[in-house]
Amino acid sequence: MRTSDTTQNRTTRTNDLSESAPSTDRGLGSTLDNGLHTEKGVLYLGIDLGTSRTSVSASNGMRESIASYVGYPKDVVAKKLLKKSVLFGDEALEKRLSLEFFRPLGHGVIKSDGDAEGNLRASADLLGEIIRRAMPRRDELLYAVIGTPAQASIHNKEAIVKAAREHVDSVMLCSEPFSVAYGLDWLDDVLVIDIGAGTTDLCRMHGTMPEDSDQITNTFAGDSIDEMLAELVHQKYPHAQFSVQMIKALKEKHASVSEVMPPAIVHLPVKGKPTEFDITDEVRTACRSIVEPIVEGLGELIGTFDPEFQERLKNRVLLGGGGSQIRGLDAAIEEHMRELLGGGRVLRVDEPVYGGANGALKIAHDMPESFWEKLK
Amino acid sequence: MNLTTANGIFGGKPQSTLRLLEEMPGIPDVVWSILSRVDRECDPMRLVFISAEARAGNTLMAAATAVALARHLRVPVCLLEANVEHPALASYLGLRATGLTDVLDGRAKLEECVQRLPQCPDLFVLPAGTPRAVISGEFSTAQMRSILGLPGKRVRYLVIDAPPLQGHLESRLLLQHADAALLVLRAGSTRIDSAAHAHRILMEAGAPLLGSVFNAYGAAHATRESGLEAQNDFAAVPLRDPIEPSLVKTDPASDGLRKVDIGRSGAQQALPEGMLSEVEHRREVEMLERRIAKLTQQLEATEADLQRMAAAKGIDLGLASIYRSVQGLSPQEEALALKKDLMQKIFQANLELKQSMEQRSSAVSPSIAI
Repeated sequence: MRTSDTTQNRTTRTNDLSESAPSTDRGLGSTLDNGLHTEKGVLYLGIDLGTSRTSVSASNGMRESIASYVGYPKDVVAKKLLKKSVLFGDEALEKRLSLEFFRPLGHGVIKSDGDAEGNLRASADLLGEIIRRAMPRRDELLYAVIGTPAQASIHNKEAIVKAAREHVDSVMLCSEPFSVAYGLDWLDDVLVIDIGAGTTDLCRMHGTMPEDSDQITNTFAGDSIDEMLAELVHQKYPHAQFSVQMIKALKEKHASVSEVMPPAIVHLPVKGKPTEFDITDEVRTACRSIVEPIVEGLGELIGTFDPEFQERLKNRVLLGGGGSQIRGLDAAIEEHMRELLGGGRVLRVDEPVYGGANGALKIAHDMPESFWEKLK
Repeated sequence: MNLTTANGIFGGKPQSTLRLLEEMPGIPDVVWSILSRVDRECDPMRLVFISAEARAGNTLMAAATAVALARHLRVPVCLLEANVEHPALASYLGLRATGLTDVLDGRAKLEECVQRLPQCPDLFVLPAGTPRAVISGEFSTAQMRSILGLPGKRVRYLVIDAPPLQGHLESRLLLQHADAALLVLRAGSTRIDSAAHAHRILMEAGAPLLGSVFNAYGAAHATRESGLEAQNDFAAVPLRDPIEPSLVKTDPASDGLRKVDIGRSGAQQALPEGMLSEVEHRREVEMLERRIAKLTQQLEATEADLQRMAAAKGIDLGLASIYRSVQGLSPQEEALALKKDLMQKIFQANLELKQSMEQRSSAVSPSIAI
């Protein structure tokens, strides 16, 4: 556990660098009666634990994002070859054939189907890795806020907290769309669309903590686009060979919902021979598949809001998450809102990958000391 | 380390600027001799010039070193201007203004922005680009890492002109990629506490600090000696740099500095109250320089001890947070009451979660006392 380590490492004698007895005093910068001096420093971490990518923003300036993949060498030979006991992100994906491979999060939460134990372990390791990449000093207190999907189950939240506690001194969870809005200081009458890989979260902010009735989660997100694109490409080009990962990479490169978009010309193998295919229409159709469910969800949240403020809410829609990088998506949602809701304005978050992590970092920063202490 | 440089060297025609950069006193005999200590160990080498505060002459130092390396070693050298808020290099060297920010913002490709100086074919320059504020975290993106990885691909030296440490958290991230770093201080301008603070940050960041460059020391004297004053291409060289009050305090107890009465001449006596003569100024600077050298030496020794201990225990020192204590909402925060309420609610939800976890775990493992 980190707590005991940090306590020991944090406590040093003023004139003697040797380790001394652990101190229970966590007051920062204080000098204790026995002549010990506590080292200073609090590192805040904002973490976005996502189905597709896990990102961290830290108060030492570090920002990292890794694909949410974890792999363990299948056997001794693989371990010797890879020279690591666990691999993460793209490296794990690349070497997945030699690994017991996990994508531990599904629909934004830790998967409980299949190898539930393995997914739990992989999630804990993934959290540990993203924290390690934030380069914390061992003599600093680590306080983390982790963004979770708006409607994550209690079981899942417990699993995330349990995993995080192995690496930080105190941890809090927070609704992902809320953290995106908080990070941008948009707290009043805002609708947040957070398009992830597993889920799209819609959240209504009205100057207070969003409740269940303020949040809608659907599964029309990155993964569903990948599935549809794979199906459409297979229908049009039955001889083309591809994997879901290849389709995902192609989507990330060409994703657009615009009528006028650059042609998506790709190379896929046909019986081992790279062949050129035009998948422009398929990409557009697959990407557009999420627009209607999003606008329907928005309509539901707007329709159940105080009529006096509905107009304002419609004009303050914030588009975030990795899926917001689809070209023309803001305009497409606006267009659909005009048809369904009579108008609306969508603003895209500047940093889709780090929007959630930045917001979580801001929450961590703004949280009073006493709250952190009580959750230790 | 002590350097004498001309103030206002930039501002003329690019060609003349380049020549003057080459001739800049101090670079060959001081910077090079320090560089040579690590040069053999690092191939390729990333050298970061960093200052405590703005206007210390960081860009000048970085540019002069890059020019000297390219000219004399005849190896490819890339000069990267990372001070995106206040770019200067493009106008100094007569280059296109597109650069780093344009690459990071996706407006241009790296290959389009790296420019070669016709008068110095081994020198490649990536200016800072369109001026804008630093975006948090942009120096740790994959794209930036790829730019910082240039030496491995094409150049022998990557000389980085980093933004000043004060107010630029991002500068520390650049140091993570450095093989060597030089701290640029400015005589008569950089405060002792700022220099010490900068040094502490560099040590905490684990930066491979080679030493400090004391810029503009005796600037007027050096300018006259090198004949720069006669050049029309240059902006006027001030006879003396502004002196911060903290550097000329007379109370020995406050910072150990003592203002020495040297018997002023009539002209010197005519100086306004609070100003120092050139001789006094130089003396102050020499003393400060010695103090900085001593402090640097002590800090280096301490840092080496810490690193040795950390290595022995397998501890990664990591990158220090900018916060020394727990923060919380500032009283000046906008919508303070609302944010307080939101923090309370987030905390309450997490407290309930914690309690339910504790209840669950106690239900699973009943008390042993029974």
